[in-house]
Amino acid sequence: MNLSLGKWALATTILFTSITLHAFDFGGSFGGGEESNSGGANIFDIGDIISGVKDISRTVTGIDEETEIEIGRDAAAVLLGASPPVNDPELQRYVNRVGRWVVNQTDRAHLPWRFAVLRSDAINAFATPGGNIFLTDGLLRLLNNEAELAAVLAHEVAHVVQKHHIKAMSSVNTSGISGLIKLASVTGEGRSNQMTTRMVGEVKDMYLRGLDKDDEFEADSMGTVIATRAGYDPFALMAVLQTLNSLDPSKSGLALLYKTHPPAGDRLDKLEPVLEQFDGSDEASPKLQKRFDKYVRKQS
Amino acid sequence: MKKLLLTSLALLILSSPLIAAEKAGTISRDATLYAKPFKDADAIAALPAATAILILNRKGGWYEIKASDKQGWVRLTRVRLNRKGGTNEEDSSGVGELLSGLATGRDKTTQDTTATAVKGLSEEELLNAEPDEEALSKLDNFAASGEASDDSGLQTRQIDFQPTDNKPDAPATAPPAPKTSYEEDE
Repeated sequence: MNLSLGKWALATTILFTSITLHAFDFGGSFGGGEESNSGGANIFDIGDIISGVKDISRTVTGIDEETEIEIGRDAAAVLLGASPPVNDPELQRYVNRVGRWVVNQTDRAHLPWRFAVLRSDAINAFATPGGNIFLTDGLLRLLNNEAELAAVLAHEVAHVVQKHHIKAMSSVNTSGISGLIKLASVTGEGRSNQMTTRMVGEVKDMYLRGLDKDDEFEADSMGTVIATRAGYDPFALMAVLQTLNSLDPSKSGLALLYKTHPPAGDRLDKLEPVLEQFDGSDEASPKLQKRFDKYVRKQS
Repeated sequence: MKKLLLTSLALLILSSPLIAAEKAGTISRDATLYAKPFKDADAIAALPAATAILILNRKGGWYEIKASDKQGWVRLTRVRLNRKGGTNEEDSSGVGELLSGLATGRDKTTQDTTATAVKGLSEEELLNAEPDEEALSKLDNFAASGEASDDSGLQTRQIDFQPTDNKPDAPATAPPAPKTSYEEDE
């Protein structure tokens, strides 16, 4: 079931109710007399209801899931244009298997999830709306086991679950998102031409600008929970951030990551309270070293 | 003589993982040193922020550490590993290995800190990227099916999202119910 559609249906219902109420009020005050007080009380209620509707619109960030997926496909094509997938079907299948296991622990498992390792020395990972998750070969080489891979994917998955990119796109300017929806809903022949002008520019801007800092912290804490739900070591994302934190931040491969993300040290500080709940006997959370070594490091 | 040299060299290499397991770190915020890796274990000492430490071992959410003359356990979230380059550490690979509790001996490509151009997904390449629809379609070949199960012994767990400082982590729950005054008025 499409959650966003459900919310829209509800919002519409409330809106309809408020219109009905308004008509009722009008009738009331027309009658005049001492009873007009109750009419005033009703108007106050309507204000509440309308602000409730506004809250809902903010929550769903104004687009349906189909459009979200379309925008995400376009964004993914742009990222792939900057860096092609690594030509290693076994590795790509492995990353998809880990990623699928991770997203099954969220309430958006039904999205058309795709995961891929991209050929790049940069140390970075990306998500696009609707469920496309990419990490660079440079980042993959820094990881030590499957738990760390799952943790990186879970951070990106959290961005998709929380629709952080859609939020970032809509916050640039108010007309931005409606324009994008129009573009995304153009299908068939006319599509690619229109898309290349506006959408590609929007997408590039967003990935060069990065997401809201708080959304990055949220993806760290939510990603940790998602990966732990999947049975992995709760401290794996922290381990990745420790690795990043121990690298020279002026390294060229980290340039875009640090332009678009808070410093690793700040992320570690924010993650600490989330990890309090895990006392961490990690016997129960396998790191799947062998499987990781087989597909990622080509060691049997 | 040459043989002896080779033997001692081999011994040195063999014993190096033990040396590598000792990583230098720093206490990030005031912490407590415990006798055992449990919160209700005996406290040995207070470790103020910025204390230099040596990490010996990991167990779950705990590091076994040495700080000057004391040895014990500290929450690993209160430790930051020292930056490579500032210390004698060879590369970053030991960092995560220590956290993972497994030395793998993987030969990592040392990434140069000099300003060599990054290939793929640099700012410039992103700016100049042409959308590649074909590459995207090909990715569908590798996607795992929705029912993908796991045969590795991973046990799923029930854990809730936690609120952060600024806002709730969980997706918004049901919106506020509409007022019932309409019915009341009738």
